[in-house]
Amino acid sequence: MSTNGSNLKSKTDSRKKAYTHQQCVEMDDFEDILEPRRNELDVRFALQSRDGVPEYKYTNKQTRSQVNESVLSSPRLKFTIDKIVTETGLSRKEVEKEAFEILDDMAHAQSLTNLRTLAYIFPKLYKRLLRHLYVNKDGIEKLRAQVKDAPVILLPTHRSYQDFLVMTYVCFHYGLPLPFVATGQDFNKMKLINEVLRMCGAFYIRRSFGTDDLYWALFTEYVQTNVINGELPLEFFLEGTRSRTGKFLPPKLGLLAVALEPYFTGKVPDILVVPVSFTYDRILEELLHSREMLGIPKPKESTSGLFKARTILQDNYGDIYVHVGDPISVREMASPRIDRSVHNTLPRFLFNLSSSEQKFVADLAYNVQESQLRNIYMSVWVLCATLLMQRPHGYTLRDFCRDVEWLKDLAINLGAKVAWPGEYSVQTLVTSHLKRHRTFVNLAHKNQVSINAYEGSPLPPTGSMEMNSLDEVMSLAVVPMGIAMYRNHLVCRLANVCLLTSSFCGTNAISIGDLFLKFWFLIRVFQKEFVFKPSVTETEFAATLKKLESCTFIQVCNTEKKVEVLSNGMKAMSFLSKMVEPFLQGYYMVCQYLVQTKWNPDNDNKSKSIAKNIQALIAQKFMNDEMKHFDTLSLNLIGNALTSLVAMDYIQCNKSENGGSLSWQASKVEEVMAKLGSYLPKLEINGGAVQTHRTRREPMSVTSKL
Amino acid sequence: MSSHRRLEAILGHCNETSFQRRSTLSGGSVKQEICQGGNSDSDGRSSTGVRRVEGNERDGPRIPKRRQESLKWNGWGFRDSKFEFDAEGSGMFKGDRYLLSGMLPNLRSFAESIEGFKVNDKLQGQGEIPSESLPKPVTNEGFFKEIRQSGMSFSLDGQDRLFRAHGHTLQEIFILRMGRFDRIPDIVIWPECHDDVVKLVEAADRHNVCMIPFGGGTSVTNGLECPKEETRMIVSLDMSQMNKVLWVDEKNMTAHIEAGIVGIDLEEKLGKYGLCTGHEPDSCEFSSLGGWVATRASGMKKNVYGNIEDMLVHVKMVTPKGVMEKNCQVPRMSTGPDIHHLILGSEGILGVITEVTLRVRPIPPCRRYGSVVFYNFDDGVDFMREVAKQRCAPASIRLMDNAQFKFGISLRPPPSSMWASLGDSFKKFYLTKLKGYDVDQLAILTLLFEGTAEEVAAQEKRVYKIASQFRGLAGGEENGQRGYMLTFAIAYLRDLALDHHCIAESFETTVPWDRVHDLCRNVKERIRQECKNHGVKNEPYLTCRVTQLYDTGACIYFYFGFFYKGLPNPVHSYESIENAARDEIIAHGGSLSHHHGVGKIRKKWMRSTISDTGYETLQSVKNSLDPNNVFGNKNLL
Repeated sequence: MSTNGSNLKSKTDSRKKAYTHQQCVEMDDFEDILEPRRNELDVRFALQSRDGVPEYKYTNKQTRSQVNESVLSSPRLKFTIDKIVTETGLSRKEVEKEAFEILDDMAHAQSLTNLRTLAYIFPKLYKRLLRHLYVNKDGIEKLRAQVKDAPVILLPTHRSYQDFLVMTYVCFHYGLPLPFVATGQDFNKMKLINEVLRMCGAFYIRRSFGTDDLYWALFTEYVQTNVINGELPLEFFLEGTRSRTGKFLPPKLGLLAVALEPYFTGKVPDILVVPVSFTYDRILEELLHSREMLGIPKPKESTSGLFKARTILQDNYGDIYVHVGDPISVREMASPRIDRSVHNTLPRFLFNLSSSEQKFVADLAYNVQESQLRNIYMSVWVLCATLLMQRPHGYTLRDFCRDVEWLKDLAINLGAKVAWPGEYSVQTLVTSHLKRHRTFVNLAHKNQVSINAYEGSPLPPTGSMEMNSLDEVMSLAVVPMGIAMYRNHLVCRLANVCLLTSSFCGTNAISIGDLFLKFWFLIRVFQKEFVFKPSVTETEFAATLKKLESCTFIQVCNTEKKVEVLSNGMKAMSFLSKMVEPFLQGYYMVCQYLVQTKWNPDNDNKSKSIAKNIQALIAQKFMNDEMKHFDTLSLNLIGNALTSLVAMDYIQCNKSENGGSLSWQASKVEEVMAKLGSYLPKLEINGGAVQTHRTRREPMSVTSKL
Repeated sequence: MSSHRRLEAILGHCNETSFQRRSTLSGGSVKQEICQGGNSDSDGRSSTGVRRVEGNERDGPRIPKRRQESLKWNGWGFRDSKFEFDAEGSGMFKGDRYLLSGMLPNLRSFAESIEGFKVNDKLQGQGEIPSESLPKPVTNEGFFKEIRQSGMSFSLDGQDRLFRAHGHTLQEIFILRMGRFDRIPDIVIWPECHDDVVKLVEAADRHNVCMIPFGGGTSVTNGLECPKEETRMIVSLDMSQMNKVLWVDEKNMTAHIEAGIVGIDLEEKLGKYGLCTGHEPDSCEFSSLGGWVATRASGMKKNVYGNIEDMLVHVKMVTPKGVMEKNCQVPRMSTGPDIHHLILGSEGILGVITEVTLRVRPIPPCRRYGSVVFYNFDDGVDFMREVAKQRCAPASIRLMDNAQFKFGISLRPPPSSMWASLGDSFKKFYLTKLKGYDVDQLAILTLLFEGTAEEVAAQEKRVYKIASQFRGLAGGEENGQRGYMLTFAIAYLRDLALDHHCIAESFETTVPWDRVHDLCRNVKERIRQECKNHGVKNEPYLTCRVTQLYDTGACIYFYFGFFYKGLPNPVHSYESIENAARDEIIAHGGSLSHHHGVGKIRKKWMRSTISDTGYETLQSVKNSLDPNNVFGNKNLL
C-alpha cells in the first residue's frame, strides 16, 4: 500500500509540475486536494484538528438554540407579530408558535461530528468518482488572510447538486470556517437527506414567499443574525437555482440584499463577498438537465430517487476545478457612492434599502458573476462539444484533435482559461474525454468521431432517424441538447466576441458605426441569454474590437472608420459567429411564430403555453427537415427570447397572479424578426428546405473549408 | 492619603479649599462675599498667582492678558505642567499644580505599546516664532482711531495676536510647532463690560472690520482660525476681562455673570455663596462661559445639573443689528421659537455673548467616586442603557474601553509601599484568576455621586445592584478618581505624543442606544483601515468611552493617535482619516457633534445634517443679523 502510494505521489508530482508550466493555467496555482487522500488514511483526514481555523475578529459564537432565540425575540419579529396579531386577529401565542415552527424548520444545525463522518465518507467517493479535485491555493490563502476582517459570503456558480458539498469539502480540507448554506425548500422534503444536509450547514428557504410577512421577517432576521455573528460564512447561489444550460442565469438579488443590509445599517464593519467558480469535466445531472430543457418534467427530489441514481457511482467524472476568486470588500466598493446615513431616521429592525443601495446590490451581483465567469476553466470536453455542435458527423479523430488544439489556442487568445494538462498528447486527452462522455459520443468506429443519435447509442430507440412525431424529435434532441450545455460554457465566456463576429453578418468589411449598431442590438436582444451587465456600453465594444484586432483577425482602419476581416481571421471569425447561430435561429423562430399566429385575446396567452407552442412549431420544422440546430428546442431559450422581446417592448406582458400573459402585434414583431434575420445566412431564412436538409446531412467542415 | 490628594486634583483643582472630601462637609465653611462689577484690576496677574486663591484676595482673571506668560504658547495648559521622559526614559508629570505629579513608573511601557513610539526619539519643534516673522497687522484707520479714543485696552503685539490666532485643534498646534499661520488677528481688544462690546460691535460694523470673539481659546474645531482670505482688519475680542459675577439671586437660584469668566473662576466665586453651576466641561480651567453658550457645551455632571442649554436662564448677545435678549428671567416660556437657541451654538457668527444668567444650585454636601469593572465593553454599554432606562444615573457616569483602562493604569504613581503593590497584584489575581475576567477585554466604569449622604448611599446601592446584573464588579473609589484624572491628563498628553512623532486627537458624537456597540466598533475598524490606506505603517492607538447618557442615546468620545514618522504629510493624512471616521459615525446614526461644535473642520457636513431648508434658515438669520459679515470667522455655515 505504501509503495503504491509513493509511486502515485511521484507521478502526480510530476504532473503538477507540468501543469503549472502550462500557459493555459495562467497564474492560478492549482493543487489537487484529493492527492493526499490517496496516500493517507481517510480517518486521519476526518479527525484532523480544527484549532487553527481563522475567525472573524468580532465573531459572536451562538449555538443553534441561542440564534433561534435571539431571532424570535428580536425587535423585527416583535414588530411583525404585533402587526399580524392586529391584522388577522390571531392570538399572539398562535403566531409565536408558527414562527417557532417555521424557524425550526429553516435553521441549520451544523455539527462538526456529522461533518467529520462525511469527511470520512466523501474522500472515498471522490477518489472513485473523480480523477482530481483542483483548488487554486492562492485564492484560498487570500480568503484565509481576510476571514478575520469581516463576515464572509461565499457565492459559487451553480451547475450541479454537488456544488454545496464540494464547497464544504474544500473548506474542511483547508481548515477554513465551514459555511452555512441557503438551500431550496424542496430538499427539505427528502427524508433523512434533509437532516444530513442540515447538519452540514444547510438551512432551508422557500423559493418564493411574496407577501408572507412572518416568513419574510424570520428569514431576514435569521440570515442577518448569522451574518452579523460572523462565525460561519454564508453560502448561497446567486443564480438561485442550478443553471441547466451551462450559461449563467440572471442573478437573484433578494437574498444578497438581505445579507448585505447589515452593512448598510452599520451592524458589521464590512462584508467580504467571494465569487467561486466550479468547473466539472462532467456534470452528474447532464441528462436530467437536457431533458428538462426540452420540457420533459424533472423528477421531484426524493431520497429514493437519489438511491436509484446510485449507478452514477460506477462512472468516472474526471476533474473538478474550484477557483476561489478575490474577495470583494463591500465597504471598499460602496464607500464612495453609498450614503448609509439614510437609515438613521428609521429603526434598524425595519428592512430598508435605498434605491442607490438596491442598484449597488445589483452591480455587486454582476461583478461577482463577471469574476465567476472569468475564472471558469474550459475543460477539453467543452472544446470538443463546441466543435461537435458545429460538425456532429464525419470527423476523423486526427482532424478532430487538430481542431481541438486550434480551438484551445483560440480560446486562450481570446482570454478564456483552459484546463489543458500539458503532459499528455492531444490524442490521449481528447480520447479520454470522449470516452468519459460516451453517453453523447459514438466511439464505435475507430478514428471516427460523431455524436450519438440517442443517449449511449448511435441509433434512436425507434431504430429510425426519421422524425415523424413531436416525441421522436424530442428524444433525438436529448443528446445535442446535452452537448450544447457544455458548449455553452465557452459561448458564455466568449459571448461578446461571438456577438461581435456575428455582427459582421457574413461580410468582410463594415463601417465601425454599423458594426456598433449591429453589436448593440445583439447585446440587448441577448441580455437575458448571456447575462450582460445592464451597463454594457461602447467601452465594451471597443475592448472586444481590440481583442480581435490583437489576434490579427481584423484590421481597424480609423481614418476610414472601417473594420476589415483579415484572411488570418476568416476561420476563427466564422467559427465564433457560428457558435451563437443557434441562438439567433431560435429567437428568429420565436418571432416567426408570433408573426404567423395572430394574437387572439381568447387564446391561452400565458408565456409558458406560448413557449410550448413555439417549441412545437420548431419541432415541426425538424419533421419537415427545415431546421438543424436542436438546441433551438430549449424552453429556456424560447423563454428568454420572449422575456427579451418584452424588455425591448416589441411585445407586451400583462402580469397577473398566475404568470404573465402576452400580447403582441405582428407588424412590430416583423420588425425585430427582420433585424434578426439579417444576421443569419440567407439560405436559412428563406426556408430553403432542400438546402438546409443538405447542410445537416452533409455538413461542411468549417475548419477544413477555411 | 494620596487618594485624598488626587480627589482634590480632579474636581478640587478648581477650588481646593471649599471642597472637602468627606461627606461631613457642610456649607458653613463657605465664605460669603459680595461681588460687584466694575472694580477689577484689568492688568491681570502673573502666572504665579494662579494656583492658590484665598478668600477675596483676588478678583481679576487668573489668566493674565499676556496669556503666553502663564500658558504654553504651543501646547495645552500651564507652562509649568507637562508630561516628560527624563534622561533615563522614566515618565513623569512635571509641576505641582495638579495632584497628578512626579514619577509615573508605568507611563513608559504604555507609551511604548504604541507601535513606533520610542522614548528617546524626540522631535524638535520650532522655537517661539519671532514677532518679525508674523504677518504684519492690517489696520483700519477709522476703527483704530475710535479704539484709541475710547481708552479701551488693546494690543498690537505679535505674540498677543499669535496667541489668539488658534484654538487647540490638532492642525493648529501642528502649525505652531512646525509652520506659520497665513493670517492672524491684527489687534487684540479687551472690553470690560457689556457697553464696551456694544460700542465695539457698532464701530466694527461702521468701519467694516472683522471681529472674532475669543473666550478661553480651547476650541477644537478650528473655530478661532482666521480665514486666510480675510482682507479686512481682524479684531480679536478677548473677553477675559469680563469675568465678574454681577449678582446672585438666592431666592430664584440664579446668578448673572459676565461671559468672559472661565469655569474655575466661576465655581470659585459662586462657592463663596455656597452655590455652584455644576457645569464642569473637561476644559473648565480654561474655557469661558460665553464659549460654552456659543458652542452648546456639556459638562460631565449634566445628569444632575443639565447641559449649558438647561441651565441658561437669560443671555445677551450683541449683534451688528443690536442686542438680542428676552425681557424676563423665567424657567420656560411659550413665545414662538426660542431665540436662546439661535444664540446657543452660534459659534461667533452672529454676535458676542456678553452677559448670562445661569441657574445655580447649592454645593452638594457629599461627593463620592466609584467604579465598576465589566467583563467587556458591550456589557458596560448594556449596563449604561439600563441605568438610562431607569433614570438613576449619578452626576457622572463614564465607561472606558479596554485601551483606556490600560492607559489609566499608566498614570498610577509608584506604589507607596510593598503592601500597596502586593495589594494591587492580589486584586489582579482576584479579578482574572478567580472571577475569570480577561485583562485584555475588561472595561471600567467610573462614577461620581453627588447629593446628601443619604442620597449618595441610596444611589450607590441602586447603581451597583444594576451593575451586578451585567457581570459588573465594584472596583473601588480610587479607580473612579483615577478615571476622572484622565480627563485633564489626556489634553497634556497630546503634547508629549507630538514631541515623539505621534499625532493624537479626540472627537465625539451622540448616537441612539441601539447603535452604540456598532458605532464604537466600526469607527475604530474604519480608522484602522484608513490608516493602512494612508500608509501609516504602525497600528494606530484607538480608544473610546461613553461619557454621557441620555434617555434615548449616549455621547461617545474617541481618542485616536498614530506614529506618523515617515509620512510625507501627516496632518493631511490625519485630516482625511478623521473625515473618514466622521463619515463612518454619520453612517451609523451618529451626530456631527455632541459638544465640540462644528467650527470649520465639520462645516462640510452641516447641510446634510440639518437639511437644505434648515441650512437656508440659519443662513438667512446670519444675513439679517450681520449683513456686513462683521462676525466673519466663517464657522458653521
